[in-house]
Amino acid sequence: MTQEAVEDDQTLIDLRDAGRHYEIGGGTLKALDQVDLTVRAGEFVVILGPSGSGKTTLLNLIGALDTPTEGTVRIGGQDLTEASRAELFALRRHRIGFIFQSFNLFPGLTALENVQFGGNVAGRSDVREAAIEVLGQVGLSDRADHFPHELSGGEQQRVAIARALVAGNPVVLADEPTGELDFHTGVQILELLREVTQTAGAAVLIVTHNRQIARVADRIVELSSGRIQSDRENEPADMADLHW
Amino acid sequence: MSTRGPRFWLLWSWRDLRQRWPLIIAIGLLLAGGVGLAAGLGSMRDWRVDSNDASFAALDVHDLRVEAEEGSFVPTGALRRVASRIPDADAIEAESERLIVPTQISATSTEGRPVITPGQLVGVETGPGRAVDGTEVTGPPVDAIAVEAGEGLADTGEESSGIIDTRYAAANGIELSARVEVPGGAEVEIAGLGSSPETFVVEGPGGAFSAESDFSPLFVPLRTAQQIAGRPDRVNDLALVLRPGADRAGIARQLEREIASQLPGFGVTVTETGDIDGHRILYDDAENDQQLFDVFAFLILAGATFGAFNLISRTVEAQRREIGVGMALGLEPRRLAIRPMMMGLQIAVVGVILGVVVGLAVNEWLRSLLTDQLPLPIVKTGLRLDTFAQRAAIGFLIPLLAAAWPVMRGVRVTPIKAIRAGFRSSRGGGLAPMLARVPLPGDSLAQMPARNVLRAPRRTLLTVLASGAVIAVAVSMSGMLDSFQATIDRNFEETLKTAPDRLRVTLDRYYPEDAPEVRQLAGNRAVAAADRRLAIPAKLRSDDEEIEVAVETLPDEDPEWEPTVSAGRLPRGPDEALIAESAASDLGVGPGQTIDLLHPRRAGPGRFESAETEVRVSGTHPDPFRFPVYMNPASSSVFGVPGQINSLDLVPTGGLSEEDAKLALAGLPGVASIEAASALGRSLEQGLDDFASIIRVVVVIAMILVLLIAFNSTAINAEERARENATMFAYGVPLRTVLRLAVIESLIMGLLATAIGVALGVVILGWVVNVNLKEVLPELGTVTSLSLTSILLAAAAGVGAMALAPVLTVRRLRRMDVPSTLRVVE
Repeated sequence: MTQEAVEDDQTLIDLRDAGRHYEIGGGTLKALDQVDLTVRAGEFVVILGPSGSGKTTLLNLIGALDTPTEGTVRIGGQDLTEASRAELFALRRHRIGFIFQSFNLFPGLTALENVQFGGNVAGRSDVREAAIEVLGQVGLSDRADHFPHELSGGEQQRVAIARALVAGNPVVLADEPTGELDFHTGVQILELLREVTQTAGAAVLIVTHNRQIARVADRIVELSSGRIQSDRENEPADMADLHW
Repeated sequence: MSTRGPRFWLLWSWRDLRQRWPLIIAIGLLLAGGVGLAAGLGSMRDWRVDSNDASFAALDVHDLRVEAEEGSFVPTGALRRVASRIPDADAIEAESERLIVPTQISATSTEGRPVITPGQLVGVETGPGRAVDGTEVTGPPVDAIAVEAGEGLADTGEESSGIIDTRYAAANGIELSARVEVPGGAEVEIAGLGSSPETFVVEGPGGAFSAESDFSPLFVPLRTAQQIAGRPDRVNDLALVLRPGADRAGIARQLEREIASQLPGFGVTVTETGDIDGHRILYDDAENDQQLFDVFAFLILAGATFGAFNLISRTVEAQRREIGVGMALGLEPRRLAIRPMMMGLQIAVVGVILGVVVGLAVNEWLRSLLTDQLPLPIVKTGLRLDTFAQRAAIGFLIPLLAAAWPVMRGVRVTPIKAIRAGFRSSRGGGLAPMLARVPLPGDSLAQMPARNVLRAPRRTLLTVLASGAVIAVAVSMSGMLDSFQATIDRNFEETLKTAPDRLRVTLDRYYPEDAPEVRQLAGNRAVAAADRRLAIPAKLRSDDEEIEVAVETLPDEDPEWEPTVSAGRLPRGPDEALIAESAASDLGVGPGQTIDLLHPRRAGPGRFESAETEVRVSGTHPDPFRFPVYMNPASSSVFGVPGQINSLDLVPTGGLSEEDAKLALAGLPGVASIEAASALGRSLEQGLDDFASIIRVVVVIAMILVLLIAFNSTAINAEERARENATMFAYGVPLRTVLRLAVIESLIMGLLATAIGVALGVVILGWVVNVNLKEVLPELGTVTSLSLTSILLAAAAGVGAMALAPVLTVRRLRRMDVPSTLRVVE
């Protein structure tokens, strides 16, 4: 789907002329400028771009962590610029799953409890069972009772991914999700994220600078200097063909 | 700019200070509170001892006192002559003969209220007025009188004038030039207000309590006293000052021998300066109170120390990653330590500067309290630089140690571990791994507060101990007030139970039970019922223990009031005694056992001798005062006054006020003084009010420290938890939930701190009551009590302050830049 696509009931993310400008030192820094982007349910989108291109800013706007200074951002039809603080919190609870580049696990909770946290917040009733299942899917069944400091960086990242997925929210946002992972685990995670788009119909947006990862996407959006340089559909490559 | 130069580190440190100044000021204030209060409380003993020394010296307190048995007198000059004949007479520097008799003071206050209280007529030799250490002194060369208002004593031979106690005058609204009446109809004009060494502390019966509003000495020239008392040319007391280095005990023995030889049948007791109750109390109080103040100062300082140590450590821990980066860049540990140590130094300097300010304020407050409350003419409260410097040194070292500790820990690990995300907050040695796995109820969100408490046991312990220590101070001090109140209540309950309005009338001498004076009193219109009693000051001795008591006989039949028997039974024979539970405990005796009673016994008209009688303890009574001893009326023969009495307990006619009843009885033949049965409890209550003012201020300061610890801890928590809070916000957890979690976590800490504080407070209270007060106030069997109100107040302060403190971070949470916190907070 391209940016010209018309919004329909499958549209989960819709940015129109969205921008995030900062007033710094008497000048204006346009971290993101005039971005039009629409993502539908079941799409696997990779946002590519070098450092400083505005990838994370875009992710923050979509994740309702930040609000645009220009244009509109709609998630599931809800305009974030019009939403109250409480509505933004509710949106994050029930529509978005976040995977942070630096994990941001709760050090006082075990791996399983961290995953359960995601389900609890989203209001799932079968949290424990779901958490155990997702933890199994990321290959950490045997590490469920470990605390974050007892896990490697890759394992922590997988817990963070499981925490985002367990909520079953329709939008999953991932900031460099494979950055800390070895190749084999990275591929496993990408497969899992792709599976989420297929089985749960979620829209997955991955921010990365790794072009190899972009090969598995349905769409690749390239950012540069805060603007979308290209937004193209992609024939997902076979995971077995990936290497980095 | 080179990293080797001090300018670089100073600049960086300055930037840190600008960023963290509220926290540094807050921690500095915490230390200042602890150091300042500890310094102020630490100066109390020195101030009090200096004040005692100066006051006793200025008034030439006696080294020895020859005191006649009650009712015994000798001609003026007889005692002085005896003293001049002892072998070591040269060692006597000065002496003064006196006539001291019990009396009743009747006056009218400035508001027109009648004042009728017991007192003591003290006839002294007049001497030239002089100024000593800035104080105007009058009267004899031994045990002189400090004149605080009005004039000194002068024997003009004309109108009688005298001096009464300053505090008594103030409490009863008696002004200079007022006229007081004493038994026999004599009037004395109050020419001056003042005090003398023996009445710095005014006793109630049997012991040392601040009875200054209910009792006063009335100092008059010796000749005047002899006229008023109807004892012309008679004295019953000799006070002596010895030359430096003189053998007090030896001279005391010589005096006793000489008196026995020269004045046969004239029973005397020779006492030393240390036997003056006021002297003992003032010095013992200074020492024992200091023990108490030291405990409180230690706890306050410990609380502030724990708090500051914890907060500084945590602040430095937050720089752990930067320390790791420095290590990775090859910076030596000693240079890595500069920045955190600079922060410690900043806090130390702020703490000491604020500590000086707080200390001076506390000093000023304690100084004004001492000036108001110390019953001394001279109060020395100069700044104790040594005490102050000691406490300031502690306050200075704490931040440096607190900063050094985490730096040492930080440089011990490898740089990569220090840099690693989440390392500092998640890792924990000791009990942490075990506690982290304690199963908890609820979902992961609900578990989070308890998990946060358990995941860093050392941090939790330090925070909890800091708050717990100061809560303990508040609890124990409030408990002291509760205990005193409970003791007073028990005394009221015991002494007032069946006849709460009764009055104690002391007669001016011994009378047969059916003497006309006694019948007139008992039959007065103002009197509904009367108990005839004999009251004798005595001592009880068992092994090495000897205590002062007041023996009182109980009417045989149907008394208006009689003591409760808590063990054993009432005395039936002449050699049985019912004693206080605390007396039994102190003497190590119980019902059925025998004990020695040291008492005066009449040897002839106007002459008493010392005697010793073995009595059987018939039982015990629960009055918290140790001195009341009750005996059977038949015991009057033991004291050489068979069938005689010297006091009456009178129940006023219904509807008659205490003052009206006193007015109706005052001036009747035989009456020496009248006071309410509740007077002792009331004077103790008054004393408690004075003491309570010190306690309340310390409690307030302790509570302020708890608040400071709670708020500082929360502020650092908010900083440490910024990333976790941002993650929760990213997941849509509402602000109120994040705040609720913080409040619950703080609440758990508050509960733990309060539990520790209350437990520690109870232990301290037990020590204060059972050890400290037993030394300071042996006459009072203080009841240990901690009221629910005190516990609830401590809980409100501890739990409330800790639980509410996170609410103050709501603005910071609301304004949090979630995306940047998630990314760069490390």
